[in-house]
Amino acid sequence: MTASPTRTRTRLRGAASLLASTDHKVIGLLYLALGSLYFLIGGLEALVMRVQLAAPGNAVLTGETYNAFFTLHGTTMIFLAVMPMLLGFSNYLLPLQIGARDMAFPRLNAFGFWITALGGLLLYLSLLEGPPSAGWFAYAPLSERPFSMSLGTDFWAAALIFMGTGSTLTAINLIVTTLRYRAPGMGLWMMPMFSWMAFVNSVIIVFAMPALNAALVMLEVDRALGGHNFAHGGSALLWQHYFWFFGHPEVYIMILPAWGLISEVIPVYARKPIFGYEFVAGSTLAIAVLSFAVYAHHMFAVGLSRPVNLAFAASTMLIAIPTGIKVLNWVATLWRGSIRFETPMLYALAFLVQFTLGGVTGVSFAVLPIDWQVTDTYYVVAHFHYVLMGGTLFALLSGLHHYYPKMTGRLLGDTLGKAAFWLITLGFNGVFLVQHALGLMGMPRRVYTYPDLPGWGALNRVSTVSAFVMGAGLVLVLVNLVVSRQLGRVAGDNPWRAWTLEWATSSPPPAGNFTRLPPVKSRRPLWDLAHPEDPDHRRPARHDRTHGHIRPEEQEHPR
Amino acid sequence: MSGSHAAAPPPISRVSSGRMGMALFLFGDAVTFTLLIVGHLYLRRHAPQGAPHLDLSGTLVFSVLLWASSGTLWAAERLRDVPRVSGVLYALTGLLGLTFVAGTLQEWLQLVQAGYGVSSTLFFTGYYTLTGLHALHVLLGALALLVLAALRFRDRLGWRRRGVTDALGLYWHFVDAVWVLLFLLLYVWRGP
Amino acid sequence: MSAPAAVPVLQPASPLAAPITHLTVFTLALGLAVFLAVTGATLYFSWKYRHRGARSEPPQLFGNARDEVIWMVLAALLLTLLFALAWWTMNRADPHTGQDGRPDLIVTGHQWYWEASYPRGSNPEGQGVARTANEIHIPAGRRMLVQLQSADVIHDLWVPQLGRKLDAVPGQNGRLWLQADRPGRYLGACAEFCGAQHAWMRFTVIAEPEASYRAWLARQARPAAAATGPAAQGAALLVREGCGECHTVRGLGTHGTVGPDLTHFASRATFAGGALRRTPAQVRSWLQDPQRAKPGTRMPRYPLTQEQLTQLTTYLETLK
Repeated sequence: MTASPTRTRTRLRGAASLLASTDHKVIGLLYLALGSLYFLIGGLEALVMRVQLAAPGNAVLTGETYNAFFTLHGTTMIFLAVMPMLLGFSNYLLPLQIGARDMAFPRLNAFGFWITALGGLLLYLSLLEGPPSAGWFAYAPLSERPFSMSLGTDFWAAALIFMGTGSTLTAINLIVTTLRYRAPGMGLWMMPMFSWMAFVNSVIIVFAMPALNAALVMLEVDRALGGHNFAHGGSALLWQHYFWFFGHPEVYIMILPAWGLISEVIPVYARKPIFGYEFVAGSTLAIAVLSFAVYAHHMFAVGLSRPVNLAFAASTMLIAIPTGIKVLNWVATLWRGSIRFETPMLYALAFLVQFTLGGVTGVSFAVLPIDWQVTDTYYVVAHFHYVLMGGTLFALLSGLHHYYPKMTGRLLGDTLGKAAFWLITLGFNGVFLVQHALGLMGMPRRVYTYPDLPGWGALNRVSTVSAFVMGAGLVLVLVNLVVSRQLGRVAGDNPWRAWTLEWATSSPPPAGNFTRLPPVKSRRPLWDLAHPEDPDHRRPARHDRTHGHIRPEEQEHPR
Repeated sequence: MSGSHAAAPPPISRVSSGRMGMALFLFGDAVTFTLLIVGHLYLRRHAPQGAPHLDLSGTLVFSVLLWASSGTLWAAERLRDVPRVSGVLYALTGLLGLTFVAGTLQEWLQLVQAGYGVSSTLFFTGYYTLTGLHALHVLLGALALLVLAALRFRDRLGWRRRGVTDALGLYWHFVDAVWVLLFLLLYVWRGP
Repeated sequence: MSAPAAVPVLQPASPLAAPITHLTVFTLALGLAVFLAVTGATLYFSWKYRHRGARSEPPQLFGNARDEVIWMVLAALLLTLLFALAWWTMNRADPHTGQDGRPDLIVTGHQWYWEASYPRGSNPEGQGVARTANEIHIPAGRRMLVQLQSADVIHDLWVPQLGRKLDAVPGQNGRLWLQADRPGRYLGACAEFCGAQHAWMRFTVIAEPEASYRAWLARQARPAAAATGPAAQGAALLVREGCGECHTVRGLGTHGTVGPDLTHFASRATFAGGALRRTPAQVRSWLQDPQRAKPGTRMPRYPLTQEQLTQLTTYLETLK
């Protein structure tokens, strides 16, 4: 391709207008791009750590460097990869799904994105000063001046405040958009499931981020001005209380929109509506409230009083119920469906299996004495990677394959997509399944090396090799995304024959989103259009004694 | 429904978007202040009794000026149809805010000269954190108010900017209310 | 000594750890059953209801409130059972320590080693306080009350075969019981991230019969033996070079508390937080450059001649 000067100029102008855009779809894609970029960086950090841990006594990294790596890996993955990707989907999809033209505050939306990007830049600028190495959780007093001398920790704190502010602005935007810009006829209880989860997720963000900000302000007062909040007479545990009061809701912030994506994907490829809409949405609300009430289960080993420990053990068990409801409803959505094994569905099914495993090991942490043994070991690492990678990442990949045609107008390569899926799935489980065993074998977390005890080296080697298999799969996904942009088959408005509003407009949607909106009378406006003889809102309104809303002719055994 | 639907949102609620967004932001802000206050109270159990070296009467003067600015802002909102008067009232509100910030800075200087810095005691660590964060809020709000004052004075704020004025008004009253709490906590209350 | 346990969390050696192991096995089995049920249903439905080319859509089922409530009640019952078991186990694995009982043993976390000191009262010989590092001796079968503290950042004492872990938080004293059923060496580690050498903050709990434990304690309480011959030059060097700024050798008049107490250094099998075996060669290379084996450790590199290294190593080897 030869680039004439004029073409280059048009290209540049195009890029500039993209960067200056306030269109929610552009912002959403920018968020997704930012998240993907940092996901690659965070992934490479993880690979370097896996190389260091491949055998006992490796000397690829020193302790201090390794600590900087896992600090950056955690911070990057949480604040710069997963959150931006999820907020990207929220930004892109929510206005489309509720039939709005754009977000409530388009310019604030762009500002939120750019301030997040600035935060990311700040975090990595810390490399010039000596990177932060106190962990993404930065427990005081280790994160205080005497023990973390370099400015890295200060960069890290500033970066977190910027990224938190960006997320908060985006969340406020999503809430106001949801409450005020829904299409005529669309009540809250008629919103698509992803919009529900993105909406509730935004509420959690608005209330959780301030706790992090409070903790960071106190930490910086200590570090920069010599305050006594967490050391020199202050309380080291106060940091943990405040940090986890943000940190546990944060875990749910990182899974809710992912649940939303899964709730969109499974019904479409099973050709059925989501089973138990009210329960899936309602359990999300329960989780939003409970997520703030379980935080101290991260602190079972600090020696809190017995009643406090028991109270948090109870609330943590309680939160397993709404989570379980979701899983069961997704499985029930498969039941009696007509299942298509497209790539998004493969990721969604893998999500179901892996997320359940992560959830099950999660319950064992709520059983307090078990936590006393396995917390801060590789068992925890395995647990939360099963929910955040086996869960959130797989949901993101599922959503990406599902919505790529809507975003670009082209379908992703099928064979390439499935090959990547199998590599990622095999790789992922290879990395983290064995880490449950390592935890029970006594391997602590956050160690840069380990003694040569029987089995430790072998299992770590399995983990490291699998990490590269997963990495190869992710590279294939990336190739697929890039190549299909030019070579993919043209998708059309609704390639998957889905039922929600985002599929009622062209792919990619025009500025302003809709040239005309279909009437919204039920949760599946496009089903109503396609089946005028059997619209959802004409179905029996009350659950009858068989399976809600069912018609006599749909029963397996007519009475 | 045909054609692109109207830019104005359907009347689902009568609250402007700006006010709703600001209310959400302030909920979060309230969480930040609450946690800082709770943390301060928790740490103050170990702090020396009370804070006798704080200048109660001097600060009260500045505080009254700040609380009065809530009144001038309310008047400015009520007189939005008289751009010139309203603009002047906005400016007055902003200036009262700046005066308060100046008062805070002056008090800090006096304290530091008397040897009470951030690192002196647990009480002062929390004191500077809370007053500093609050003064930052006042400063940003006051600057925004002065910008609005200029626009309003030239009658450049139409009904479409209603959300902005609503939001800023809500913010300003919130910041004033927080100061009531902080004043009682740091100046009036003598500690546990 | 027998080989270390392969899966220590599942091989308890203490009445405080056994209940946790039973609960762990039970919970994991229960969890596995739930996991297999969900996975089984997912795979079975995926296969059974796969698209077989039908033109029409499957029956549109919207949910069933009754089934949902049944699931919720079942889950709640299961979790209530787990909660009750957790409570019951908690009382057995972590009996009340009280706040006023005198500890039998004070364990202090330092960046990056564990200091264990036995207060005068616990020491029948009464010859002063026994203080050791990274090798904590306890009498088998006797329950020891441990007071846990930190000298700098948060650490965490964890011996998987002996039960619960507990954080050592600066500014507060943690208390826990330590008990081993039978004599043996039980590996432990710091389980809270504490900086550059968190990985080499490992330690061993050594349980021995009561009589040999008492003998050990009596030996530890004595000051260091007077050095003779080449070792005496090493001792003089240790004092002259300022090692006493950080290290204590009782009987030599050095009182540093930054690094481990060296009074009976040669009675330990490993040093440097489990990173090295205590052989003359390893001790020598450590003295030559501590940063090579444990980068970031608080001990700086001293420019010592080969002869000085020999003298110091010889002296340290006499500190039985």
